[in-house]
Amino acid sequence: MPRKSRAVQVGNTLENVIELFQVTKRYGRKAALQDLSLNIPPGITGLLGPNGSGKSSLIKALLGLVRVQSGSLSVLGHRLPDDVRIIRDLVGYMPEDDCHISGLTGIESIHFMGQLSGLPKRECLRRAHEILDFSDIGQERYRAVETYSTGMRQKLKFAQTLVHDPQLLIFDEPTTGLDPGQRVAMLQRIETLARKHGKSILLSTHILPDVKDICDWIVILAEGRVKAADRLSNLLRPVTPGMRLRVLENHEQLKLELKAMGWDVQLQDDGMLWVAGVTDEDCQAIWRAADKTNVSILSLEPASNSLEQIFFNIVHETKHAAA
Amino acid sequence: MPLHDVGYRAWSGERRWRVLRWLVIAWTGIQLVWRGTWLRRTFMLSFIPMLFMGGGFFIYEQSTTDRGAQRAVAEILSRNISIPHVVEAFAEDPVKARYQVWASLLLTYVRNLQAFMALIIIGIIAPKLISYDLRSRGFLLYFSRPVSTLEYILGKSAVIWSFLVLSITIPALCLYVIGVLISSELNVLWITWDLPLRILAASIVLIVPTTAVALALSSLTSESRYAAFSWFAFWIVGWVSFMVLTSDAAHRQVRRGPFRGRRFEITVEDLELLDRWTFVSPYHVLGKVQQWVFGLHNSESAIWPFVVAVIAVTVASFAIMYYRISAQQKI
Repeated sequence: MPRKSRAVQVGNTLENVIELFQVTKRYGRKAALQDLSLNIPPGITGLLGPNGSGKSSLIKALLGLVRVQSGSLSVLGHRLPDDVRIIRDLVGYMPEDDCHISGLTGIESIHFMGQLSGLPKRECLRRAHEILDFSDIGQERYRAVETYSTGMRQKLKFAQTLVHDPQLLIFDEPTTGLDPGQRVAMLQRIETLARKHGKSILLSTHILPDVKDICDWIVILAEGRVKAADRLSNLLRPVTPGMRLRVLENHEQLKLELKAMGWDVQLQDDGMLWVAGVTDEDCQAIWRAADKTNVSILSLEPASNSLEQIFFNIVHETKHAAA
Repeated sequence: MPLHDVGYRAWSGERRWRVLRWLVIAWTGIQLVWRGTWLRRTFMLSFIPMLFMGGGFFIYEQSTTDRGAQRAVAEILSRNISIPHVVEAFAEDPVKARYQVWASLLLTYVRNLQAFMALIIIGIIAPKLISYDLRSRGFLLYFSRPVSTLEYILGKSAVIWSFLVLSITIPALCLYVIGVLISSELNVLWITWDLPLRILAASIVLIVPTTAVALALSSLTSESRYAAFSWFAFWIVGWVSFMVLTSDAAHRQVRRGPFRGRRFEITVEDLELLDRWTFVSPYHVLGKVQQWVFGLHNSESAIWPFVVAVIAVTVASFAIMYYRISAQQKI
C-alpha cells in the first residue's frame, strides 16, 4: 500500500482515527499545510506546534470547514469532503476562540447544539443536563452565556463538544483561561473520556505540561509539515540511557568518584547530575559512590528528554532551515 | 457536585434526519427573538389593520345592495391613484367589480398597511440574527455540526419568514375568508378562487426579498445597530427620494381637481413619471410587483423591469450573505 508507507505512522498496530495523505492547503501564496501525510491512532494525541504551524488549518480541514487543494483526508474511516456531514456527527470540536450563541442560557446553548447534531428534543435536554454536571457547571447553567466568566465559557465549550457523544474529540487549547485547580480537573475529564469511555482525542495546545500529563502520542507541526510524530514515551526516551540525581551538597566529589568508576557525568542547568550509560542495575554502584564520598542523594531517576527541549529544538531547526 | 450527577454516559439513540436540522436553527431563533418586548408589542399591533380591512370587506358587500355604502367605497377607492381602472369598474357595476375590489382591498392590506409593519418587524428581528453570531464567533459552533452555509441561511431566514407569514399572509387569508363569509353571492368562491394564491404570491414578493436584504445587512457587521440603521435608511431614503422626485405629478393632479367621481385624474405622462422614479424606492418597486401579482397592474407600463430588479436584489443579497458566512468559517 503506497499510501500508508508514505504517511508518518504514529501507531503501527492500531487502526487510525485520522488519516491524511499528501495534504496541501494554501491561503493565497502562503501554504498552511504542505504535502502533509499523517496517521493518528485512537488514544490521546497531542498536537503541538508554534503559532502559524498549521494546527488550526489541520483541524479545520478535518472538520471540512476549509477545503484542501490536494491530498486525501479521512476521519473515523469517512472520507472528506464527501462524508463531511457524517464526520461532523461523529466528531466533537472545542474551538480555541471564545465563542457562544448570544442570548441563550448555558443549558439552552447545550440543548441547541445537541439538537443541531440530531438528538431528539427531550432526550437532548436530559443529556445536556448530564453533560453540564460532568463539566462542573452548576446552577450557572440557567444564566445567560454572556454573563459567564472565561473559565465558565471554557467549560461550556467543553460541554457542547460532548453533548452528542462523539467518537473523536478535538480540543483546541482546552485549558486556556482556567485556574490551576480547574485546569487539573479539565485534564482529568479529558483523560476519563479517553481511558474509561474509549474516546479518541486530539489535543491541540501550547501548554506542554498538559500534553506530558495526559497524551499517549505526540505530533509536532512546524511550517505546515510534520516534524515529529511518535509515542510520547518514545520521544522522551534519550538516545543514550542514563540517570539523573540531585544531591544535597558537594556534588564535585561525587562527580569525580563516578567519573573514576568510568561513567560520563555532567552537571545540568537545573543543578542535577546526569550520569550517562547507567542502567537501573547500576544504581547500587551510585549509592555506594555517594556513601564513599559522604554525599546525600535527594533523588535518583532515569534520565529523559524534556518535551520543552524537543519542541524548542524542532522550532529552532525549522527557523534555521528557513533562514 | 449535583446529587444526580451520573458522570459521563454514552448515548446510542436514533438521530434525527440531517436535512431538517435547519429547523432547529429556525425554532431556536424564533424563541430567542420572541423574548424581545418590542417585537411582541409590534407583532400584536400588526393585527389591528386586519380589523379595519375586515370593515372594508363588509362595506363593499354592503355597497352591492346599499347606495350610501357604494358612495363610501367609491370615495375610498378613488384615494388610490395607482388603480384608476378599479374605480371605473366599480362605478359601472359594483357587483361585477367584486374580484377587482377584493383584490384592491387585499393589495392595500398587504402593500400599504402590512408592508410598513413588516419593515418594522424585520428591523427589530433581523439585524441581530447574523451580526450576533459574528460578534460572538458562533459560526464555529454551528459549522462544526452537520449544518451547511445554506441551511444556516435557511434557518435564519425562516425566523423572519415565520413572523411575517403570521402577521401578513395568515391575516390576509383570514380577510379573504371573512369576505367569503359575509358575501351575499353564492358564486363568490368560483369568482375569487385564485385570490388566496395571489395572497401567497404577494407575500412571497414582500417576504423573501426583504428578508434577504435585512440578513445581508446583518452579515456585513458585527454591530447590530449599524445593520438596523442601514435597514431603515434603505427604505426611508428610497421612499423620500421617490416622493420628492414625483412631487410634480402630485401637484398637477391637485391642480386638475376632481374628475368623473374620482378624487384626482391621472394622465399617462404622470404614470410615466411615477414609473421612471419608482426604481429609487425599494418600497414602491415591491408595490409595483405586488400590484401585478394581484392583477391590478396598469397595462401601459412594462412590469418586467420591476420583477427583474426584485429578483436581482434578492439574489445579490443572498450571495453577499453566503460569501460573508462562508468566509467566517475559514478564519
